[in-house]
Formats: sequence, structure tokens, C-alpha cells
Amino acid sequence: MTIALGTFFAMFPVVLAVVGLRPVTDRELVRFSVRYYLLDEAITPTLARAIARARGFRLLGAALGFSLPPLVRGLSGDSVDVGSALFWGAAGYLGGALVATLIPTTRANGDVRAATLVPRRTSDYLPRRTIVAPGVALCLTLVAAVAYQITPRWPYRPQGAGPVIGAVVLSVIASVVTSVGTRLVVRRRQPVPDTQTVAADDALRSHGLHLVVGTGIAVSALAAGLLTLQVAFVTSSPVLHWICVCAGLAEVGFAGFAWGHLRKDPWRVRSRVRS
Amino acid sequence: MIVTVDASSPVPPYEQLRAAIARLVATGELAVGSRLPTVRQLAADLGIAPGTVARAYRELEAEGILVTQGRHGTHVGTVPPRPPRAERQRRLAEAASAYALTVRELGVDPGIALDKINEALAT
Repeated sequence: MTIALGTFFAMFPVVLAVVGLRPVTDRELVRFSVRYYLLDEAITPTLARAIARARGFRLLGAALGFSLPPLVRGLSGDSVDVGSALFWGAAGYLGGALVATLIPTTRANGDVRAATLVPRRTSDYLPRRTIVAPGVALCLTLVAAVAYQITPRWPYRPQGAGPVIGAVVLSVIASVVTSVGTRLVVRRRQPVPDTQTVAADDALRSHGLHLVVGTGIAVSALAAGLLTLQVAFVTSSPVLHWICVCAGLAEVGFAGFAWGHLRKDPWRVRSRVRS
Repeated sequence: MIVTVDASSPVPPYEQLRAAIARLVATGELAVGSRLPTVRQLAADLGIAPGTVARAYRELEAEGILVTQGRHGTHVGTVPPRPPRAERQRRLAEAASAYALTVRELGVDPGIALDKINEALAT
């Protein structure tokens, strides 16, 4: 690893820490409150703390995922792959988003405990197609992995199973973390000091689920897409080549859509919370 | 539809929970067919053991107030029958005596106390 590359990977967490630890601005708070119909200003400090903490965790995860594997590989004398660093950065972002969302908004204090009798279900927060999307992306990765192994190849094209193992491992991790994480977040304890805190907790839970599921789908779809394009690169079958080019580009495009849209825009939010 | 459990009360937590849910069903706040949270969710939210919530649910099922249908979860089954007239009069008198005692302790004007009763009945 060159000194310049090592410095880049070492400085990246510092830059992200500066970005991640900045205070939440009034504009961000207003935008969040309007998006989730949170009208009571008394919960603003709780919201600001939760938003800042979630952002810090996400960026910390991304920084660790992006920098640690290349630094470890570089220090041990192996070659550094910037492409896989981006992948692991996204996986770290996913882990950070999940950890931040699993932390309750407020803690239960005193002897009197309260809870709402409204059941929480995954379908109250996420559309069905986004719940099954990580599993579909994993299936596409497995199909591409099988195609990569059995397809007739051009001579002088890569023969090893390296890309297959990396893509499948990453896709499995992203799908499992997303599916299990979604359930854990929905089950997370919901303290009920008052109705507005319940609404804020619901909004933060929904926002966290968007981030976790959107990132999980993006990582899984990107792994599937890049492996499908790899099949297009090695295969000697013209038909399979063009099928894989189209499918791979569609999957990579969907990964971009998931990262840019599913991760940010609000979906259906639970609306049955009442005192 | 918020239920509370007071850990410092001499009444066991499962009984507090059972009474709270039964009251919500009797007053119509929890309609027949409404789905209730899972035992684990309610136990986690209240910070009590799942067995405590399960016992409250079991007792309500035995009374016919709740119905559990496997994967479909726990629903409100039937509204508990109103107690007989004599029992209603007795419990009303008890509650009124307790309220009157509190009013006297606080030294509140009886007119204000009656206004508060009317406000509470109106909500």
C-alpha cells in the first residue's frame, strides 16, 4: 500500500467523524417534524438527540467499514481493493444504522410503567415489496453465482471463484442483517410517557427502518448486479451475455434507486397511534 | 389506549394489567375484534416479565374477553357483561366516598369538585 493510499484510508474516518458529530440544524429538525407530522415542540430536544446519534452511528459504521479492511490488508502486505472498500463501507453504514435504530428513544423511569395497546407489525412501517426485496436480491445473486460457475467461457477470461464468494457473502450478510434487523427494530421497546413521545418514537423507528432496509436492498442489489455483469464478461454465449448485461445494469440501477430513494423518502407510517 | 402498571402497588402487576384491559373493553375504547400486541411486545414496552403479561392474557381469555387464534394473534372477543344493579350501586358508592374523602382532604369547594366530575364524565 502506498503512503498516499494509506493516508487516505486513515483520514477517511476522521473526515466522517467531523461530518457525523456536527449538531443537528433547525432546518433538519423542521424538515423531519413536518415529514412525520410531529407538531409538539416539547419533543424537539429528544428528536435532535436521536437524529444526531443515528447519524453519528451510521457514519462511524461507514468509516470503519470503508477504512479498516483496506488498512488491515495494506499493513499485512496484501493489495488493496478500493471497490471492495466501498462495499464494506456500505455494509458498515448498514450496521451503524441498525445499531442506532435499536437504541430506545427514552428510558422508562419510576415505578409506573405505561405502554400502548396498539400492536406493532412490520407491515405497518414497510410496504410488502420492500420486505421481500432483500430476499429477492439474494436469490438473484445465487442465480448469478451458479451461472458464473457453469457458463461456457472465453479463453483468457477470469476462471477463479473469487468474485462469486465475495458477492454471495456480502449479499447473504446484507439480506440477513436487513431481515433480522427489521424485526428487531419493530419489536424495540416503546416507552410511553405521553402521546407525542409515542409519535416521535414511531417516526424515528420508521425513519430508521427506511435507512436499514434501503441500505440493505442497495448492498444486496449491487452485489447481485456486479456479479451478473461479471457473468456477462466471462461467458462465451452471446444470448447469455446480453441477458446478463441488461439484468446486471438493471440491478445496479435498482441499487442506486434504493440508495437514493428508498433510504430517504418516507413510506407508509403507522397511523393508528392514539392515547 | 394506554395501560399502566405500578410496580410499587400492592396489587400484582398481572392483575393491574388484567383490570386495565378489561376496563378498556368494557368502556368500548377497545372494540370487539381489536388486535392486541403480542405478549413479548407488551412485556418489553412495560418492562415486565413476559410471563406476567401471558398470565393477564390467560385470565382474560378464561373470562371470554380475549381470544387467541395462534398466528392471528390475540383479539378482543366479547364485552364483559355489566355487573348486576346492586353491585353497580355498591361500587359507585365506594368510588363516590373515596372521591369525597379526597375533596375534603384537599379542602376543595364542592362546586368545583362536581365540575371536575362533569368534566371527567364528558371526556
